[in-house]
Amino acid sequence: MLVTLCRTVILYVLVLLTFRILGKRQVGELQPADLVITLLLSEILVIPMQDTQIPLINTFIPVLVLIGLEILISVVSIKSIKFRNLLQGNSLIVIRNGVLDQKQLKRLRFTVDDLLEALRKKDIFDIAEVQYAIVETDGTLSVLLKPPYRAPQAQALHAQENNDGIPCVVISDGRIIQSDFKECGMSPPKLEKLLRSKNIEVKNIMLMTVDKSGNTNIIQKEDEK
Amino acid sequence: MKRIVIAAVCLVLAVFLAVFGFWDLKKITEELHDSAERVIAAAEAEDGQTAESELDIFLTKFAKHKKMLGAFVNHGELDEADILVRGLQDKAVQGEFTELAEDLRTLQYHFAHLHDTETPRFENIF
Repeated sequence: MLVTLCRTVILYVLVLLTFRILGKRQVGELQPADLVITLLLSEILVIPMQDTQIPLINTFIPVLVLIGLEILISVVSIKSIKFRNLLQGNSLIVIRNGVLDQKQLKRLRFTVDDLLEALRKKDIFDIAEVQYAIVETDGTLSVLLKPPYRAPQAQALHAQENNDGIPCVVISDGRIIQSDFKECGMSPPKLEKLLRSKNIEVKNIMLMTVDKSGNTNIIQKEDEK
Repeated sequence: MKRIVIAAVCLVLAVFLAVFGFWDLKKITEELHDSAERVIAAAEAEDGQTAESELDIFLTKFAKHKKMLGAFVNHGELDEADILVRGLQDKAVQGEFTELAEDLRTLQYHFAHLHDTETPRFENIF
């Protein structure tokens, strides 16, 4: 039992390190090669976790080889378009100006129901509204609506838009987060002055965000109000 | 560049572990096989004193290499060999030389098998 416990801890750390090395792509959208690696890794790691007869070295070697190959393949994919197309395939247009491309749908082995479902998930209920629908290499659907059905942009409405940037978290759960200070034009003295003017202590703040224009949003801890 | 270095390190480490493991396994199993052969020769000649002293050498070597063998071969196979090894000393003390030689022959087969299954040959790979 203790052996299983130790092996589980070791293999858990190994999985965490592996996915850290492989990067965010592995956790988000999965390309065919990423999916293969993820499936293989899960199988390779689960078996020795339960079967204590298998030496752990028999797990380390395939994991190291898979990490190495995955990184090499992604590097070659970045350098060579031909290799990338071979490995990941191409994005395919399935709707053009409201017309279904049935040949491409057959090629993708997509049914009309699959396509309609994917469109509905994007709040589109009528194919006629679609200018282009593209099935991406990871299987997701990207849609460009015809101009009359697109949401109006501020530019089209000639509206003046404030460029406040992204609200940065400067205090989280009573702790100052200095990493984003530069992004929102904040500094420790400025923050201190701001909090003094509002008569709040850092430890009593659950969340405080600031944008580029200096707009603040402070949420105090519930028991401190 | 950093990622290529990581990939290269992973692949080199994997190849190193695999080659080192195989080479070490070969060395250990050959050493144990030869040591067992010396005990068998003494046991078959019914030379109790030599058999016991050679057996001590064999047992010391087995105990020393057991940890490394455990890291590279299936523990089940090693356990089978371990059970046989545990009975050797009693057989030598009681003068059961025929049984001792038989057990050592079985152990030699085990050692050869451990190495054989790890050899990258067509039948082992596929």
